[in-house]
Amino acid sequence: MRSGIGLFKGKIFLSAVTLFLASVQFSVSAKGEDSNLEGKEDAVMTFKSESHDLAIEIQGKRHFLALNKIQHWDVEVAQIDGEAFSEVEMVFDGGMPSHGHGMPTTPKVMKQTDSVFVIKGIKFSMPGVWELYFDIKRGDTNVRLTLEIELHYGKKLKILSARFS
Amino acid sequence: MRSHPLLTLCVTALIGIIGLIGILNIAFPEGEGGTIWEEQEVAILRTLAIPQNIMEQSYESLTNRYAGVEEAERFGHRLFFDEDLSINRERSCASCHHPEKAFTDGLPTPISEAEPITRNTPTIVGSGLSAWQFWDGRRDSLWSQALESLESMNEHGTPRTLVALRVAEKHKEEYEAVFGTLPDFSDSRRFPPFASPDSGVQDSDVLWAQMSEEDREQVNLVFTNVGKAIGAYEAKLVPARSRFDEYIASLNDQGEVMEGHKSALNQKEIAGLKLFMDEESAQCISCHNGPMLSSFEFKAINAPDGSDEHTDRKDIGRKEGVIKLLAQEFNCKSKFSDATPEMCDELNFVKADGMELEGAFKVPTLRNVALTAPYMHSGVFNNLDEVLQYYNRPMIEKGVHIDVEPLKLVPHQLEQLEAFLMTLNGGIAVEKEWLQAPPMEGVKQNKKYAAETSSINF
Ligand code: HEC
Ligand code: HEC
Repeated sequence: MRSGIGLFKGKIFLSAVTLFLASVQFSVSAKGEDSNLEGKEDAVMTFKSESHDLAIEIQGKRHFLALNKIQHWDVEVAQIDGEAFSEVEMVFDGGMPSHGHGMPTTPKVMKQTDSVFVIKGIKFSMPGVWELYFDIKRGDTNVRLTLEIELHYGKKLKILSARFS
Repeated sequence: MRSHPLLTLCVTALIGIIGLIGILNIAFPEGEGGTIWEEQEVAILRTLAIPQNIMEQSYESLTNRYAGVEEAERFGHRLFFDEDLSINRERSCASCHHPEKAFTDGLPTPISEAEPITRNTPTIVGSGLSAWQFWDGRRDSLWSQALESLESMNEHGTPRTLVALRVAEKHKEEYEAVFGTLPDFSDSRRFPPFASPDSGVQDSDVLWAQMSEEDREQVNLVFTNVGKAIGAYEAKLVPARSRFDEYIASLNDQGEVMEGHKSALNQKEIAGLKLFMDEESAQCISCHNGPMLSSFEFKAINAPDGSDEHTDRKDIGRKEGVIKLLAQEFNCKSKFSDATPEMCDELNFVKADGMELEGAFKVPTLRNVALTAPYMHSGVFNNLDEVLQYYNRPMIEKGVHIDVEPLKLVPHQLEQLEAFLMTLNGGIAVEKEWLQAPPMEGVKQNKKYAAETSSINF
């Protein structure tokens, strides 16, 4: 968390990204600029895993990924080919492990359709590295998407890693 | 443990280098007007400046439709300074929130005749920009905060029916100009002065329970409107631009002071600002951010509160505050709020549990911080130097959650940080009349009151 280990951490993150890129494809898009998603209402992040036959699309509404603003996200869960699952459940959580705290709010997941969820009440109360967990349950199979993102004032969002497990 | 020679060498070398950097920093400060900021840092700096539209960021207007209504603000101004609202007619909000101290009182904790008050009087300047009121955020608007101050034995101690009666007695016209006709409270069997569900006055809850539902509603309506007028006044009290804001306004995108401008900050203050913003070392900005230099979130820095671990209970801050918030009858989702329940995001998604709430307090604003000593929820630190010394060596205890780490800054860096904090004094962005006891013409008043207001001199 502090200066001393900062250098080391950078390296770990870099290798982590390369490692996970092998199994996860992710794309980030926002109209106009590429990865500056903050506050963009039409920004989309997509994460795909061939081995789990799973595609997760995250779309922000107002204040998407902005610091200190309550925001609601749409999350669509589908098969790789875009086909919806019939029965799927999702649980969301997150926090800042390096600071030893969870989310500053209690986000709630609401099911919209068979495969579309809204997560309401997400807030990032501090700049730094946040971990977000999306637990997807289909029948007996549980898959977790772990996102590691870095948010700072005045800087572009960095997705440090995305991992399915 | 025996230290490894190589480690010792490395550490010594590191200390040497750090020292050298420090010396170079003093010996060769960067020239004025030169590039001191990277573009990214300029972008961050701009998020800290007071924006033109600061009023639009007010939380008060979410639940209080009288926020921004001038008549309500004027009425609230009078109520804020009105000692007749306290049970013994001796105390007003301004007795503890002095305008010339950015609405604080200069004491570690206020003097109280009832139970001892264990918390420091916070500034009110900019409080309307926060979703939470009090150090533990147990109220979620200025108007509902005011209602607690009115009834609390430690503050005004006035049961709510008596608040309504006093307003009817003294402020009828003003009240009606804003809120419409006052109910007729003259029947004291229907409206016993000491009735309240939530005051420290003995048996007030019994009297309240004996009132008819309809009569209680009428009292509640006047009571909450009084809160909303006070809230409207307080919401107006936002910080004015300081030298720090002037400095940011003078920078171009490349971080240079633009031609024709003089740097509003000196080198020492700029060095302090750099430390303040450094997310790797001092990390102040991770909690003290945005135009108010506060995220208004709840964080634990474990500042001492004077409690003795054997005799007293430590102040657990937000952990208890959030329970009170959810239980209180005047929150954003209550029927007295002007918001619809689905607009209450902060309340709907509030974190109600978790070990990180224990001992966590609302991050205070640093606007006008030089005027608001003593510091922290407990008022333990008398000056900014003591605050910074604490951040340099915070109290880290086993098993106690804490959100800060030791800064390990050297003395001249602490001085730079302090110099920077002193640049945040900009006062309050309202005309002077709002910061004095208001004229009371046209208001029915008792003699004592008239004498006192004319002698208040800010
Ligand atoms: C006896 C001194 C005293 C009086 C009188 C008093 N206050 Fe306070 N005020 C305090 C203290 C102490 C706190 C902090 C208490 C806490 O956090 O638990 C506080 C907190 C506040 C806050 C919260 C600010 C923030 O940012 O969290 C507001 C707003 C406020 N008071 C307004 C008022 C109003 C309005 C009145 C009159 C109706 C009033 N006060 C009367 C001492 C006083
Ligand atoms: C982890 C979040 C966090 C960080 C980082 C942090 N603060 Fe604070 N600060 C707080 C909280 C919370 C309080 C109130 C604590 C209390 O009342 O017990 C506070 C209180 C203060 C106060 C007292 C203000 C008042 O009105 O009482 C000052 C001054 C201050 N901080 C300055 C700084 C500076 C300078 C830095 C960087 C060296 C810093 N803070 C870093 C959270 C933080």
